[in-house]
Amino acid sequence: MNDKTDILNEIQLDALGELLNIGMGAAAASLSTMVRQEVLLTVPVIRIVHQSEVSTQLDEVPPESVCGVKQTFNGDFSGDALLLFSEAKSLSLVQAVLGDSIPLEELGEMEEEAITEIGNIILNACLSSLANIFNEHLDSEIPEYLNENLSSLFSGDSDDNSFVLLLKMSFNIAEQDITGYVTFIMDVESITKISGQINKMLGL
Amino acid sequence: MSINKQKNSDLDLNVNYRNVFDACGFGIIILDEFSRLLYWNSWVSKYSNCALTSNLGEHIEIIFPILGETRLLNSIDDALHYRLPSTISHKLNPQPLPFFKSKNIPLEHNIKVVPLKHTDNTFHCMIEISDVSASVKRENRLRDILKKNQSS
Repeated sequence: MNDKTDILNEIQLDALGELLNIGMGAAAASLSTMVRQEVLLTVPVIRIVHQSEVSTQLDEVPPESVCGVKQTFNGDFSGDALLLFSEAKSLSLVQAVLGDSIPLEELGEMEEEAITEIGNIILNACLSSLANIFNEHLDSEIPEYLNENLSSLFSGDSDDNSFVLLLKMSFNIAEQDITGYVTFIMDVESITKISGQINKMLGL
Repeated sequence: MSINKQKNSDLDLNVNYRNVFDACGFGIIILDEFSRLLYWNSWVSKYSNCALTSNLGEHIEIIFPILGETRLLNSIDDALHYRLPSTISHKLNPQPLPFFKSKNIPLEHNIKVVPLKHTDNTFHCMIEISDVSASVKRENRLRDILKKNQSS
C-alpha cells in the first residue's frame, strides 16, 4: 500500500483544521439566517487516510447506506468533495432544519433538494477556505445528491494513488447534535501541493 | 456524408442564442462581475412582470430589493468571487424571487447559480430558475393522502 497518509503532519493538519473551521463559521451563519435558529458547525477531527480505509473511519455511518452531496472540483488541486451522513442522520438534519417530522421512507424530492443545498453551503465553505490557502480559485461542478453504499464511493484499491482528507463535522441545530463527514478524494500530488502551501503559510 | 464527418463549421446552428434562451421553459438571468443585469429571458420577464430593457445594467438587488442578505445574494457572491456554483431549494428558501404565476399566486421555484467565464477572463454568473409548483403540489397531495390512510 502507498503509505503517504503522513503526508501532512500534525501541525499542518491543525492549521488546516483552523482554516476550515473559519470557513464553517461563515457556513453556519448562512444556515442560521436561512433556518432562523442558531446553527453551530465545527470540525473536531481532521486526518488523511487511504481510500480503502475510509469505511473503518466513519464510525457513525453504516457502509451499506450513505446519504450525501458531492461536488467535483478542479484547479491547483482537484478531486471530489463529499458530505456524508448515515440515512438516519440526514433525516435528523432535515427535521432539525425544517421542523418537519417526516418518516424516512417519505423523504421526497423536496427534502433531497434541501439536503443538497445544506451540503452545497458546507462544501462551498470548505472549497473557498482551500482556495484561500492557495490564493487561487477552484472550479466546481454543481452539487449532486447521492444515496449509495460506501464501497462504491471509495473504490480505490490498496495500491491506488488516491487519498482522502477526512473531516468529522459536528452540527448543532435545535439542541440536536448531528455528526457528518466531509471527505476530499485527492491524489498524492494534490495533497503534496496543499502540504507545500501550508508550510509556506506557516513559514516552514 | 455522415454528420460525424462534417467540418465543425458546417455544424453551426446559425441561430441567435437569445432566441434559444427565450424558447426555454425555465428562467435565465445573466449578471456581470458587479452583479449588474446583462440579460434575462422571456420566462423571467413573464413571471417577474418586469421588462428586460427597463432593468438592463441595474444591480440585481436594486431590481429585486427582496434579495437583501438572502442566500441567493450570497450565492451570487460565491459565483462571482469564488467561482463556486450553488443550488437553492424551495424547501429552505421559500420564494427567493418575487415571481408570480398570476396575481397573488406565487411561483414556487428552485434556483441554480453558476459562474460563467467571460472572454475577458472576468467571471459573470448565470441564475437558472425552475418552476417546481407542480412537484410541490404533488408531494403535498401525496403526503395528505398518506396521513389520511395512516389515521383511518
